[in-house]
Amino acid sequence: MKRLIWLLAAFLSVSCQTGHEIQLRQPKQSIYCPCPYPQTKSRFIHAIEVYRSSEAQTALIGVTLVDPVSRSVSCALMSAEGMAVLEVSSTPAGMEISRALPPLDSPNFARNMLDDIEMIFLAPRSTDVQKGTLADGRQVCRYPDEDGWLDVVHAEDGGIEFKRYTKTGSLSRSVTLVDGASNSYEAIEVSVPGIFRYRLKMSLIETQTSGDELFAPDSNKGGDK
Amino acid sequence: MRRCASAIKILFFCAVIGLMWPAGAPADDFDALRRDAARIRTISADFVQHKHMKILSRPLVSEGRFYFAAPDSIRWQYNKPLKSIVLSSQGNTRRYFFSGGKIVEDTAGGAQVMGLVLGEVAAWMKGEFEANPSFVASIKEGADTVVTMTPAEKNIAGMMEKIEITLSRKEPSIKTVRIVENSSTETRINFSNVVINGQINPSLFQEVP
Repeated sequence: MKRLIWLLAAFLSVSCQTGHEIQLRQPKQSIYCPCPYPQTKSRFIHAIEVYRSSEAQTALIGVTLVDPVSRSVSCALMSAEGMAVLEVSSTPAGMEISRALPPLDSPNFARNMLDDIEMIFLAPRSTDVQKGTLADGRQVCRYPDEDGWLDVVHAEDGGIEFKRYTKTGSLSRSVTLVDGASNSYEAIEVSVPGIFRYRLKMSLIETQTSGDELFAPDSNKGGDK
Repeated sequence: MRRCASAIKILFFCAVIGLMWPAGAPADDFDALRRDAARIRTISADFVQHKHMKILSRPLVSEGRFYFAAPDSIRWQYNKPLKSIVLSSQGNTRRYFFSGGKIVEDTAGGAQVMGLVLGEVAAWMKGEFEANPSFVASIKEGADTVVTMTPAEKNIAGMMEKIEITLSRKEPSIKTVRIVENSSTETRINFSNVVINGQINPSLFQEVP
């Protein structure tokens, strides 16, 4: 269990690794920015495998509900047996943890997980987009924000990569939406470099476009922002 | 870790108590339950689990199979959507899941939690449900018999409101176990093809798949 705690704690740690893909060059042709994000309220159910070596160490079920209009996200993590260990949601007004069992009961864990989900499923907030090519020739759209910047890159295999960098240029997260799938979110790989390096492989079980259901946060309750 | 273990314990508790409850016995006769439980050597059953949560517009459906052999061997197997197997026998508990087309042992600590859970399942197999201080049981007779179990301990009450076990009065089998966590979250497990004291290959409790 301690290893599970350690693994999941690592999920929210931001590790340091010097980035080497941070120089933009002027493109020779126009660049379009990848936009895999859902345009309507959508729900995704993934099987999530957690890796620290070449072999998976554990597996969970994750449910993600995103609303691009209100920029709201909700997420639940369940064991394979269906026991919900975490239910959390976020709107621009704040975050609400409706259920969190140890070792996932840290607000920091919930906040960082929601940040990752927003990076993957919601278009960047920043409208200040820089377009160019990286040193390796791949086209990139760069979105600066107060924490650093996000690069959205056309991967060589046709997929899409999200790379989150800190202000100092350290790569903190790398996410790949694997190409070849019928849904952009059918196969997702999350990689966190550094001392607590780990990988998540997410395989889509089911996706739904939602109706008018309400998001989890109670409008009468305050948030953490 | 204890709360996580308690949460999973509840799931197994519900499944086991439901499968072992002898339909047809006087519902308020816990002594009869204990006597009947002592006669059970093996149980096997298919199950379909519906998980209802506020975040889901329709329930997440899981399917699998459950095996028990006295005194303490259990195989709890989910076939979909996430293939996983928990094996417990002679105090040794292991958890497996499928990854990349092959079966892999869970090394993240899940088996330790399951070991704690299944250690207590052995006690429940003796039919000593009244002695369990974690729940207060009540019975309602109707077209079916519904046993409602309410948490008596604070740490469990924080995770769930009640368990409802519906027993058929027409057939000697359990119908449904319903675990209500809160007003918007519940787990319903429907059992079918329940076989009591049938032949089960002992290797099922030792090997995967």
